[in-house]
Amino acid sequence: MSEKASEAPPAKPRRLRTYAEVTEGDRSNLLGQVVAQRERVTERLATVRHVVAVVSGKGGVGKSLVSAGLAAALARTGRSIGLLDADLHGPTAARMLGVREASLVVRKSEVEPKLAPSGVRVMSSDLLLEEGAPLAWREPGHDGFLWRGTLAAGMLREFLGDVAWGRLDLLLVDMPPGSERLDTLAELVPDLAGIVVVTIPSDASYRAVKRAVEAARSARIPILGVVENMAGYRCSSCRADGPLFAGDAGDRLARETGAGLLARIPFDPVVQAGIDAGDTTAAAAALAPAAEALVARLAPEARVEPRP
Amino acid sequence: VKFLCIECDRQMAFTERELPGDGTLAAVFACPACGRSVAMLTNPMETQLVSSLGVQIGGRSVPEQPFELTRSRSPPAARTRSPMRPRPPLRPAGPFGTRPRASVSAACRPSCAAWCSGSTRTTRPSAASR
Repeated sequence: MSEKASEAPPAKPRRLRTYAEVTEGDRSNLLGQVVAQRERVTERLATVRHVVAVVSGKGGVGKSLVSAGLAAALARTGRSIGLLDADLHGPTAARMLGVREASLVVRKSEVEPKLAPSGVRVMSSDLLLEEGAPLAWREPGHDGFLWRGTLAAGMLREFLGDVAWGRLDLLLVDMPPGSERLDTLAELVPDLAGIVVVTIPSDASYRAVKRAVEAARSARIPILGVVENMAGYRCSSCRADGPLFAGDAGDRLARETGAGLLARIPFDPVVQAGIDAGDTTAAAAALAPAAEALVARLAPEARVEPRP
Repeated sequence: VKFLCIECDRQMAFTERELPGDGTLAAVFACPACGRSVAMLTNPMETQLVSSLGVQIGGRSVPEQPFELTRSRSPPAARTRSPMRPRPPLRPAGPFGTRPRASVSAACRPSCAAWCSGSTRTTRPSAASR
């Protein structure tokens, strides 16, 4: 038996082809699909002159109010403005802009944004969720921490690339607190025009926002200006301004970034009441100087002069 | 990933995709020469990671649809029509409540004393408005 085995011809050496040598094609082409997704975003934003993110390292400083006010103020001057609410888990921008009909028209290759009464085109996860329902992914409950961030990035990509934004002078992106999503946005939109930083006067806000500013700097994202929100309290009866928070976070951030202060806005119950009811008239008036200062810092060739 | 039929030295072709359960994705490949087939059983966690990118394992048979990832992975899917949402109720007047603009008078009213110190100091002008 052992003799027979020793007489068997030696096995023919087998050489397997390499991955590259198998040239019939990779049908999945996962890399190609990812590249196609990115190209879809680039093609969609080809008709958008500027994409500007409104960011803060701290929650509750009024990013969405500032975003809505800037958008409405610019829309009132005849510019074509879009607002993308990138705060997927805490969306508020659509309602602030008065979009009450939570419905979307999905066409063959795109989704129609909602048109706010101010003329701003809006997309928000608020338009996709049932009343009061959180954004929860339809997947097994385990190990979700591994992929939730990827899904959120995919949702932001679809908001950018699948929405029929049309020709826009400016697309504002209302970012969630922190700087993590800003990295995603910067990768999806390589020619991001820059960010508007929102803070309140307090030292705690300064420290949190400073981190987001440094993250933007390290990603080489231009800082277009600082808005200090809640810089005092405006009495709704006598319209006098009084102190609200101690601190000078707006000035410090403006000075340290070299971007300058776009606006210092008091907490105004009249503005807040309007925003709560979806009326941006007062917010647009409060943010109008900041909006014009922002436009002045964008590339001159892409500016659109307001209509008389 | 590519699959090579060693006997025939031919690349195996994707034939079908199945979801047998527990998050496993089974991608079946067959040799176009001898017909031998294999099933690639993916690790559910790895499958989840890949599909979170919004890509289709085995390739696309139709172009990517708008909001494909969002509609397929977030409940409920994007609706095409839904009723108007109600306006939020007006809240009581106060510093963080609603005070109709018409009620604002030129002089500081007694009702605002609780919230307003009566100071006439205005907020510092911003750089943009200077």
